[in-house]
Amino acid sequence: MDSDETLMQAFARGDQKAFDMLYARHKGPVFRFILRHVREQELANELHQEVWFKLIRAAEAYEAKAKFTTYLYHIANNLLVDHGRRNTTHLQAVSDQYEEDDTVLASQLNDTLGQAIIEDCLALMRAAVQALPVVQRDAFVLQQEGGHSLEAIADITDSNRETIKSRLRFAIKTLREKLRDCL
Amino acid sequence: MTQQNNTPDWQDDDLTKLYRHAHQEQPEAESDQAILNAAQKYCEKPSRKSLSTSWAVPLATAASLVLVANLVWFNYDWQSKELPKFEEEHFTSTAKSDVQELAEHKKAPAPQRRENLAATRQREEQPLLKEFSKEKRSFAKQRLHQNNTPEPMTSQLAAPSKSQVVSEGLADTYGMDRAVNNFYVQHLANQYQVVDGRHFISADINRDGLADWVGLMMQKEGSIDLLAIISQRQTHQYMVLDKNVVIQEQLKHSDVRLSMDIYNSKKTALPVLILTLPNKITFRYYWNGRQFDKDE
Repeated sequence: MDSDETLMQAFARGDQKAFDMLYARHKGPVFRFILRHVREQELANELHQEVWFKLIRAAEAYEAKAKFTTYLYHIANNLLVDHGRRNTTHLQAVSDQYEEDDTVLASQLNDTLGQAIIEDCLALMRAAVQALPVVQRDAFVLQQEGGHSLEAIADITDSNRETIKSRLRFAIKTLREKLRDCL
Repeated sequence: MTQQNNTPDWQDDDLTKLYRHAHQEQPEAESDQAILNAAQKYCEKPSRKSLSTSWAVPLATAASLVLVANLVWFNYDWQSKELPKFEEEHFTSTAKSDVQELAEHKKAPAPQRRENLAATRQREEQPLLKEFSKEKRSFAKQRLHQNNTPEPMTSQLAAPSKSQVVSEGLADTYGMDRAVNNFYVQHLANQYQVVDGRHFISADINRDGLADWVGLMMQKEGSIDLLAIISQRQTHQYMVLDKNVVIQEQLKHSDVRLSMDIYNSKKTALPVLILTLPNKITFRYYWNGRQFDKDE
């Protein structure tokens, strides 16, 4: 199987099939990373498109210096940061609304954890991830979706390895506590 | 489900499984289509890289052809018009006989050619070797004599003759400041070359005929400043005394090659290449884009 880097280089030379393969591999994880961050399906679709458009526009200048996934998620993260700066008010409103929802959901979850069944666990998982603080959630989602290493997540989020490790530890601790009956 | 023991605490396989079951959202089909269309458009248009190549290749070929045509024409023109005149003016009888000898040499069979070559080499090298050894012996003797002679008093130092002094002003400066610079000037007497109106290089030759040190100096108002010195004594040590002098490179070789860059007030480099050979120093320097060679 061709590596992501090889496919991207082939696409840069004009190979459409290489792009199709790349897109099929990464569209889901990138989309979910964005969705976990912005929490709005429509906005996530819009930003997801923008990420891939940026990648296409920059294809000619692409050099396989780093892992392709790091490069791709770096574009996504930068776009989210830019979007966050432009829409602080809107995001805050959405975030506040979600935090309220999460609080309600979390209390409901706590009540029902005793009789949780597998299907409920999936719902619990989604709610628990959403309830994580943004930086912990971003680190956790990048780890889950992209299978990124600590170094890659640090690179994507312009942070450092130890900070990421610490964020992941907190996220996992919180999730394990909330999902203790499911694990 | 329980967490595996060998998993680090920032990973959790059980959580990962649950997370992946719980999160399977995909972008909308419309969004997929828009992205794939954009990629297709990119693939259909000729890339800038190939575009530049498509122009660059014919352009470079055309330029090369013009250049070659010019060179051929120039060569033909020069050979037909100028070469006979040049040969008439510059070919000495020795050179002409060399050409004749070469032609004869080419005609001879291979073993004969080898013998001819060996004989020619011996004939040419022997006088040079003799001359060289004689010169080296006399030089070593002279240096030995100098070393055995007590150091002259500063006031007794002989000023260099006019012929040794390239710059009139330098001689004056030298005379004025010899008390201060006596160490350098006594070595300067025979071996220095002027790099430009103000800078000059000096070297001291040791008994082996190699340069012990090479110094770069500058004539300043009423004094001579030593700007940098490269010493052979301790494995090519050098010392830069002025921030405008950069020692560019030092190459160890059977001969010694040293190189310095002097920077003028406008911070323009004046590269100076100093080549020392046994019993001989060659200074090569560049000034205003012109190359100068001086042999001593």
